[in-house]
Amino acid sequence: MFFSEYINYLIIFISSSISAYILTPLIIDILRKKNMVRPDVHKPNKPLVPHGGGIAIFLSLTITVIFTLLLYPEYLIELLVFYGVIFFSFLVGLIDDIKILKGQVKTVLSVISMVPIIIGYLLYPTRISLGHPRVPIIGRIRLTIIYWLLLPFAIAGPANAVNMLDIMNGIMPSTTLLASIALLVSSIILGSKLGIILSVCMIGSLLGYYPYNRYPSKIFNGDSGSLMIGASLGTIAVLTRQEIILLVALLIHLLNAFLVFSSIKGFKEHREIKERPLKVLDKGILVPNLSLTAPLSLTRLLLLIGGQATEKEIIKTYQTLQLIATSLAIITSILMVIK
Amino acid sequence: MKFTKIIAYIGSLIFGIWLSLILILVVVERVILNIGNSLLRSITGISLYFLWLFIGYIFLREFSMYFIRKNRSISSP
Repeated sequence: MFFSEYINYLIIFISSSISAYILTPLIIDILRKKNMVRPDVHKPNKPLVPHGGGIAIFLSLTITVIFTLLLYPEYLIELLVFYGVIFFSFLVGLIDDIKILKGQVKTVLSVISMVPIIIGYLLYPTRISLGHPRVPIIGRIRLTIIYWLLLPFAIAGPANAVNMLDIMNGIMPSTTLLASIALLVSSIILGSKLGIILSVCMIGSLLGYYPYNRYPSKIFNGDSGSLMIGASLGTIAVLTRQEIILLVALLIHLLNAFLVFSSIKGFKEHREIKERPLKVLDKGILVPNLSLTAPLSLTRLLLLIGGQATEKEIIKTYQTLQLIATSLAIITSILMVIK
Repeated sequence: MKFTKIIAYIGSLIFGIWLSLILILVVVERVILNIGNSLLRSITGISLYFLWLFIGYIFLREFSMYFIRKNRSISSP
């Protein structure tokens, strides 16, 4: 790799992190003035927190994509597809933030976010090539029917899984930041320049945004943030054939989604579920709901195993578990080059 | 909160899922995709992936129920 290449990556990183860091407080002020606030239910005094941090991340990613296009005009098609998915998923999330969509509607709409990838594939099949994902030990696998069956979920899956784990302060940006680092390291190992560029965009934006969402949050991500970040990770994976690596990097999110879906038997918005998986006691202590009919979730399972905890302890646990998933994702990419 | 206990349990669970995922992918690619008949190959491959998901579902349900029952027995007088 040439020195100028590193400089370009640094420019992308700086533009994304600084833009997110500067834009987020401005968005916090606007949301507060518009009274777009929600209570932080895991805090004893339930403070009202501005809701819609996705707007800041979206604007930061927009600026970053423009910078990236100036530096790498040869990736015009790939960047347009990437931005198209970001735009669609952000829009779906924003509508949900304002007008609360039903679980099924949100899932169907997030599947539609896949459209830019399909259009890109149909118009530029040499640039946007789909199918035959990379797998450890084997290399490219011959999945044909299964791949096309699962493709609609390649974006909707991570988008909804990330959205479902956006439950406490800072969990979404910190875990997806670590997942993006897994994609970056894997891209370096697998020699995917596009993967490096797109991962750096994500890492910068999430890093610039994280200080405002970390415990105690000054802003909530909203579905506009979590759906968009999940969909962006899915797009990077599909465009760079790192589907399996992302699957491993998001194991925590997918495990949580699997537990929730299997216990509530279908796609439901969390506001539609009557019984809660956890209870909040005085002073913000979280305990698991011991009812046999309460929905399962990873947080409930963590509390069942480890006993009552504070929100801060749960956040730390999730970050540690994400570190394990990130390490496994990197090991997976190493196994891809060792055949 | 028993942090180490959680990391040990869930960390092992994640590691197990990862290992079984790699195993199922390798088995389907190396064994199932060598079957001569295309239709039989597809059906067997898809069935195996669904079987993997189903086993995962049963295991996770039982794993969670074990801790729910354990906590209920501790909390009940």
